[in-house]
Amino acid sequence: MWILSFGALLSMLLSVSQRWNRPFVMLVVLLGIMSAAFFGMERNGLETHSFFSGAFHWNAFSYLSGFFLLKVSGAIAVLFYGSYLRTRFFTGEVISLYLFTLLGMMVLLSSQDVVTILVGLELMGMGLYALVGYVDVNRLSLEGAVKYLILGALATAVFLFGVALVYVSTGSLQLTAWAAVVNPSVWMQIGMLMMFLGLAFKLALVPFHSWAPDVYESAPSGITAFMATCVKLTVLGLIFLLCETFSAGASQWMVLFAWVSALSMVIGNWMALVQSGLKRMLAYSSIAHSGYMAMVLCTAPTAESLETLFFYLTAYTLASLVVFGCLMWLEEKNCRNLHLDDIAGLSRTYPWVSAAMAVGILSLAGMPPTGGFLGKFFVFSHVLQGGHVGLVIVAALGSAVSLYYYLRVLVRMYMMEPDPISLLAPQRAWWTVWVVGASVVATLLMGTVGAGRFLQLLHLGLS
Amino acid sequence: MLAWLEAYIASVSIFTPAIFALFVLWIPNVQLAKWVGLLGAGICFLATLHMGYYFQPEVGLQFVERYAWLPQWGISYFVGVDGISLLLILLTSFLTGLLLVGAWRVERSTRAFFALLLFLESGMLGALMAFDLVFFYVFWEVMLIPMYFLIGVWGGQNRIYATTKFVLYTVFGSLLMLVAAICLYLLHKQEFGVWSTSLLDLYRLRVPASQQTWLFAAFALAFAIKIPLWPFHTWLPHAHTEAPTTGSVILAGVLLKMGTYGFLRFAIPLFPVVFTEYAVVLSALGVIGILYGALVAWRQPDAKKMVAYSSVSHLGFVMVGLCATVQSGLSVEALTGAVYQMINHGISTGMLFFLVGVLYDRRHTRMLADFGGLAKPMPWFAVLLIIATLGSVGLPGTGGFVGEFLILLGTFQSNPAMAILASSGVLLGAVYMLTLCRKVLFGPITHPENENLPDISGREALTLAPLALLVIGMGIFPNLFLQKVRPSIEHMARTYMEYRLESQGGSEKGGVL
Repeated sequence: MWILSFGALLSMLLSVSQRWNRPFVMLVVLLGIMSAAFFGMERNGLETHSFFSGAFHWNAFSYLSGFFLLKVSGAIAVLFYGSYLRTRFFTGEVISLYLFTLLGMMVLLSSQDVVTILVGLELMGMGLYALVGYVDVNRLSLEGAVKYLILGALATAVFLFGVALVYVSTGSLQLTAWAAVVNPSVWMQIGMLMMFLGLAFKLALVPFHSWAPDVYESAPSGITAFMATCVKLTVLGLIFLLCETFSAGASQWMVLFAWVSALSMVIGNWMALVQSGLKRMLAYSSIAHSGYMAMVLCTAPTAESLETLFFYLTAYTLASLVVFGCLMWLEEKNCRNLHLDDIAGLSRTYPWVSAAMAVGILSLAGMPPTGGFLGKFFVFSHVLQGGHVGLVIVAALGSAVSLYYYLRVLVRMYMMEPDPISLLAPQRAWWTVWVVGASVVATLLMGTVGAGRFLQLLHLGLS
Repeated sequence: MLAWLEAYIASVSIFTPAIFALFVLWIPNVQLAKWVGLLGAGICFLATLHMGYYFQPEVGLQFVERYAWLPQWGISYFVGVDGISLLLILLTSFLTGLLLVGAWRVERSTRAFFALLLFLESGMLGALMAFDLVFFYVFWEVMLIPMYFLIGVWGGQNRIYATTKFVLYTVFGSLLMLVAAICLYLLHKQEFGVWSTSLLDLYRLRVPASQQTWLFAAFALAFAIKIPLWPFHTWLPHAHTEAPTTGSVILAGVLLKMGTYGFLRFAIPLFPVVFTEYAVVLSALGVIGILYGALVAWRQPDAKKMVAYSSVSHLGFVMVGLCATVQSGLSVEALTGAVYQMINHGISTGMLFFLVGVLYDRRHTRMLADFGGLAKPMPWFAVLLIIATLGSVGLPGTGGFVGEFLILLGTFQSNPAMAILASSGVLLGAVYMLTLCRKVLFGPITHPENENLPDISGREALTLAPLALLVIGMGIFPNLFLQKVRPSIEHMARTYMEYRLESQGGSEKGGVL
């Protein structure tokens, strides 16, 4: 983590100099820092460490999620580079913002007291707000950034209020102290719920989902991918951590999550039906997927829940990587928001891209034999085991509904004629090809052969 | 080598088409790719023939392969063949081979078309041979994707509406079935303490009657949509008319049977108590389907839609056969008849769709009004159409008669009224089928374009002749096929009776999810 923070500062300094501010150099710096951080983590290994007198707590969970985060953000960075960064200025600042955000995420995942959580949350948040508007300076992006900023600040305020209430009840800012409370008072329960609600904003769960479509659409696709995948992982991990901490008040927040996830699935899937902009549609589908993942939070926070959550997250992340990667490849220099009509007849002009996109879409929809299907299967099984039958039925119906808008993409690609005057002008970017190709393969493997091994890996890591 | 193949014959037959589909996609030369595809289908057919030949009816589940896939979840790759699925498996591989021959002349993205058909074959065979709920579900969904593309890309005018409706409707039922399947999975853990999705383990589960109703409803809905049982049939006419010829053939030939197979394999044995209670309702829906399908078919101006509605009618018959319960047990005759009728319907309706396809290739129209008096320029076509019609109607001497007779026999024993209504369906079937023949074949030639239509070509004969031979053969030598089916049905009926007697005498377990 030290490496990350130094790396972020370093890239910021470097960006001042003209000579070092070329995109390719920046990419090398970025990847170098990430690999260094990776090795640093390897050195720490799976044992538990504490830093700053108990403020940080590095355990197997942090390791696994950190590993995951680095991989995914690295992939996204590569994709991003392949599509936008090459033609933009200020790449140094973008990279440093990226790294700061990543730093914030890792801080969040290894925190042991609430101040650390706050630091991480803000770091991650600020970085993202800036990234949304920074890369391509136009009205749409700036609008998205400001929206995100304001609504994010509101969410943080709610979170802080919750923290304050819990502090008043327990008298401590340490998570271990909170966990020790057996009989939470009314104030503590309210505080707990407010904390969860504040975090639910970041996940775009209903009723705090309104920022998602606008921000997803206005942000450059790489940042959208970053938000859709890494942020979800971080915040879900954090919520899980808090669930473990607050296990005394379990019944309250289980009900909260049940309602929130049910509404998210319903509204997310419903609103996506009428969207014609691809990124907006993906934003609403992201809301629905947050709903599916939040379902797992309605059950007791055991290692098995975490495994199920992680599996679904991995499947979702891989699918998102594929879909957003294809989108980024198609957008290229235009940085324009793709419309459903733009991808009409894509199978004729770019067969491999449409095939990859098809696999990604099918995985998001939860069709066998992709990883997305197994993710849904495990989540459904787990939640049914917890006894929430109605919730699973809502989820099943939501999945059926979602198939309509996912299939619409396939229909456009495969069953319609391409527009002769098309504004798509993608270039051959082998970075993108590599990442998307690997993700496609991984998705298919996850649904078939690799599932057993992946589950074993998770089991080892998280138990 | 051969010994190894023999040991894994089931998996070989499931995955060979998929592997060859990949070859087809890979090979750049279209002609070579087509032959490679045909080779794949041929190998698969030989594998299934091997299974059919060496199948011993009395033994039970054969050609079993079982590998643990996710042991901590109890999910294993479990495939096998028994009398109920054997004939369907043979039908699937046989029809797919014929399909590839029939699709030889497709020009647009030929390799993709062939590959999709082969993937579809893998999906169907997998679903027929799977004995593990998760794998069954996987193959069930996998069947949808190639069909979706087949209709959507190569179909008719209204294809996108048709294919979207088809997929959404089917998936809706399937997802509810998935939830029910997971419930069964959890109940098994509760009762036996072990995770398992294997069907044999789940057969031993004794689900309390109150929960059985909902679980049965979910499974029944998914299969009812697929059959299609009235009133869940509305996707069928669109899907059939908009699909390309070969798509319609396989849809009618095999995919519809998946619904009835699902009932036979899952819904009935897993939930006998509820099934017995609601068998009359399902049977009534089947009868309504028979009569409705027949009457609507009679009035159709479009040949393909007519055959589509005839499918609704025929499968209503199969459903009546499945629901024939005798003194709270299962009627072996009716069930055997239902299985046989599934095969017959596949063959005769497949043949009918091929024939309509022949007409469409000639004149690019399916409207009956555009034809008439074709017996003169196309005599062989007339012969084949008559054979298909008679097979569909169930004339004695064709397989359809044997199936219908057995079904009516079994139904009459338990519910004479239902049997009488169903037999009127036979009559109506003759009405619309013979109307079809009259409008297409007989009378004066009303359109000058029809005067010089070329008769059946060699390639078309290659697809139609085997079907015609089977239609007649299955009528003259039914026992050749029935002897393989009957012992499995008897076994199923026996276990059904045991379950029923047990749950009537025993106490209800308070199993809560």
